[in-house]
Amino acid sequence: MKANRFHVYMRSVDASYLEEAQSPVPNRKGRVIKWLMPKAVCFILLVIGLLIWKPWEDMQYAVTGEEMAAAGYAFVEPEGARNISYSFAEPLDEGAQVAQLEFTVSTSAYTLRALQTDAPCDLFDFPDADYELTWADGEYSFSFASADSHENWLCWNAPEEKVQYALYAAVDKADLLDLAVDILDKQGHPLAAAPLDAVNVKFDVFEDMGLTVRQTEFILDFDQFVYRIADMLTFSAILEDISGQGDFASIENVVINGADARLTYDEGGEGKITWIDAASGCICSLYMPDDATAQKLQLMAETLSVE
Amino acid sequence: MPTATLKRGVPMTDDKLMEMFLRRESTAVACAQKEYGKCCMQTARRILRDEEDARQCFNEAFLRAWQTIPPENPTSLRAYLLRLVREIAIEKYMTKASDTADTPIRRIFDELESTLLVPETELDSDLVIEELSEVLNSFLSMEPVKDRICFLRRYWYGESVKEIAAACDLTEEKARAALSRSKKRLRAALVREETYI
Repeated sequence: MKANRFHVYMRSVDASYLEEAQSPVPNRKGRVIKWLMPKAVCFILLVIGLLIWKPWEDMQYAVTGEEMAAAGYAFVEPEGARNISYSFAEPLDEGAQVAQLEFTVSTSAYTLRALQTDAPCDLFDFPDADYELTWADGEYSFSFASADSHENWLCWNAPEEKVQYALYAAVDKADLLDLAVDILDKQGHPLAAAPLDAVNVKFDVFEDMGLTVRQTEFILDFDQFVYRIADMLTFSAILEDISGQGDFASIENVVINGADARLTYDEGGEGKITWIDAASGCICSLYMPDDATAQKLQLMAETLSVE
Repeated sequence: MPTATLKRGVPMTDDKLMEMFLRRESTAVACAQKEYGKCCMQTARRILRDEEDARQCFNEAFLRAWQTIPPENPTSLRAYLLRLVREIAIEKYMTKASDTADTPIRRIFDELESTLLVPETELDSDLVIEELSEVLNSFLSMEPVKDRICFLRRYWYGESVKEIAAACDLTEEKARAALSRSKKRLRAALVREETYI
């Protein structure tokens, strides 16, 4: 009888009301402000971008893409890039010619520089950064620096090509890293760690507990994941937790590709799993903000962990 | 390290997706699944325990949308899809559920039922079901729009108070207050019409 009551209620409501319940709810408050806000933000960003842009002191020589390729530089043009121009900036020292790709994405100007070299080096002559983060990923070495929170640059050294790259823009860190993910993905060395079919992939890097943490957020099969990885500074018997989350109702000890791991979750709610990847020497964590199950967390952790 | 594939692009608007359905574009279903897949799966999972059943409902809902648009031309594709997912999930739940089937929407309905508990009678009568439907829809027609939306999202879609508050641009306290008021008015309407379940 109880089941019947439920069934009867569930079937009794008019379809038009059920659809209305899921239609966007109009909100009268602040409509004018909401209309103006994105336009005001774009205008302010444009002004900031113009104000901090400084003319290059270096002498620059415009070249074509073909001439650049003939010089040994195969730049990747990011998705959405406009106003593309190639040039050679004034050499850093005798004989060292820095190749340069300038472009805009949306209304923001980016500069990507490259130099054929065996060793990492600076390709931009910028004031001291507020902070700098460095990390290695396989044979690649990376550094991210930020000055005044609106000048950001990401540098990486590609050992197979023997090329140093540096990407600079006066944009938010997230925008710069988003573009860098695209460029490095096209270069064949992904910056973000996510499964092949993942969507909405976002990369971030920051300092936490003295560690440089690389974070990849992605969605796979409509489940959202936040994956964090950091190089261990010293060996520690205590499993550090870089997830940024507390414990949940259920706690289990599990194994991820031979490594001890700690799994904690609320069934169908939040959940996380933390482990140390012995092969890479990294501390790892995987968090789901919603729909977490032990199985999903373990499977994804095994997929992401370096074997 | 696994290779990531970055998918970029501008989210599609509901109007644009509806156009694609009406023009019978072959990518309409895939684009709609990309935009609305998560909320549709969440709705199915609130009603059904089994992930495979939820996935079947999801696929069937998009197929049904493709088959019915046009001539259907809903004002909101998202709302139409969610209603289809819900209907299909309820149908599947009805064929599978026992009295003790514990799913999120069932737990939430039990919360409503405790407010509405009145003497039982025969449910197999079409007349009783029809009367209940009339009373329910009449009650809903009298409810303020936001209260009605909160009420249906909670007890017919199984959403949490937090989700409802975010969707309706309310604080959680105001959402709870709206639900409480609606429950009282529904009980009063049922008692007044002497419709017993």
